[in-house]
Amino acid sequence: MASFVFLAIIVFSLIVAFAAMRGHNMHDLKEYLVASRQFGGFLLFFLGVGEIYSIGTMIGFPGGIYAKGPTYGIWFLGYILLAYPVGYFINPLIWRAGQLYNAMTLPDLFKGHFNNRALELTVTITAILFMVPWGQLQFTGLIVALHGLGWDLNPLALSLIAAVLAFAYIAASGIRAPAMVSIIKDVLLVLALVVTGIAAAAAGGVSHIFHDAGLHVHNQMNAAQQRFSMSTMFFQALGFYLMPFAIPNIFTARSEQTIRKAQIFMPLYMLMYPFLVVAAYYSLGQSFHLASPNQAFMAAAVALLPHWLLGMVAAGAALSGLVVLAGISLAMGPLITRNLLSHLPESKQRSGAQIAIVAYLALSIIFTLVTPSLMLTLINTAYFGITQFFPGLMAILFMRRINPYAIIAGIMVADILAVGMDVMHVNLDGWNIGFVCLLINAVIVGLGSLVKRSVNSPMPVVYARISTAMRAP
Amino acid sequence: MLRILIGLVLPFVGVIGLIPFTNGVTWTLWNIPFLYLWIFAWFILTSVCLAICWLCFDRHRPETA
Repeated sequence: MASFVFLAIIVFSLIVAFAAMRGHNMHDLKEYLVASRQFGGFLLFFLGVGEIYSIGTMIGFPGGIYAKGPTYGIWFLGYILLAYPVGYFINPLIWRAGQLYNAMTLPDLFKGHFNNRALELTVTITAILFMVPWGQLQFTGLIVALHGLGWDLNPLALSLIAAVLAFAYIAASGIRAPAMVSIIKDVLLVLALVVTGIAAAAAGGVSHIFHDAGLHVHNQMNAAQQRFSMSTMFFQALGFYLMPFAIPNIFTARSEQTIRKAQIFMPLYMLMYPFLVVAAYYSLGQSFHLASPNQAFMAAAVALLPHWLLGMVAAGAALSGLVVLAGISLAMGPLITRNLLSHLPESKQRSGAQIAIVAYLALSIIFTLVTPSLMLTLINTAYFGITQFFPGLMAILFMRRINPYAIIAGIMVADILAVGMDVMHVNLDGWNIGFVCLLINAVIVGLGSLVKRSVNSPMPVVYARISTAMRAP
Repeated sequence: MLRILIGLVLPFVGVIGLIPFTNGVTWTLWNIPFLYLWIFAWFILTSVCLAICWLCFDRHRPETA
């Protein structure tokens, strides 16, 4: 029954996606990506909802709490929450930069501002590479969701099913799918986590759940955990809106004021998270025998929900993973065609983009199989690279006389250091590796620009004014 | 800049800066650790901070800039 409901929902979403594609050709990519910069606050708000209620939230977050207690629970909630005030101040300026430079992607901003090909390539390539852990995050979650349905196959078979679903999804639905399907997905996902949270609370009683869980996990963090939690929140809050798939959402806004208004309300839809915390603590207290902490949420759902509802929950989770994978593929298209292969003829650009997307998905699946990871750790890994764009963004928005080669050096050194330390399991006394590398990055950008000042330094975006006449049609 | 103090610095201090303090609080509500209660409260407080920023400062900007 659970599998039937699951498959029915997946097939239904495919039909919706397919129907959405009919009548639109692939050439209105720009129209779709930045929606001609006409979205009002309400739609922006919905795009934002889709960003945080994902498979990483629903399956990853309870798994993180199950494995590491409040340390992971707190940083996860904190970094998303603090990203909103950062966005309130920064996003209107990113939008303005997008207008000035007619940008569709993050590297477009660097290209438009510095007119430096090497910097554009550095940003493009590192952005793509650090999307691999994000892909791995989706596939890991998909496998957990399928496993929760009782599809008791080995990881390779489950990964293959997840891969086939993802490829079929992206091939059949094309670029318009995410927008249409994400509405179904948002409704399902929010319903699923509220229902599971309430079921857990009803089964045990909130006070009882946290008492039982308290026997397995500390309520307080030790000094190193506290440092990790604090530095991770700060570091990842700065990178939240620099994700390659988040930037185009900003460009869809109608105006800077629309963005500010939407940001005010964003923290409020985090009010669904307490339900997930309850579900996670329920799992903690039950002493389930889990093959991986990632299964904590699905284990609670399996134990608490009737079959048809379980199918719905799994479908919501799977759908969100598929939508994100489709969304990343969608965001990668222009990164490849506009920023990486802009010198090639259009037909070669398109086949290049297709090859890159397939390679990206394949690489994500291989990593999923070879290095099984706690889902929240994958989020950390992605930010190690993505947040390193922050000093460069500050240069575009606020600073004069920053040397683009100093930005390149900062990104490269920080990325290599962070990945190196991550692979070697270096422990910096709790401090988030990416945060330490960001400080090094900022010092390199600052010193590098002092030693060799940029000759023709462009005006920081914050001083630019967009007149109505200049706005893109 | 009062605007940045209210909208940006205040939430960061509340959510990150005060952790060494909130982490030490052993008081719970229905056994829910205080760390969670504190951050749940900031879901609303952060919105309030941004709303104050909007109402007192940003609302008066021209729509195009």
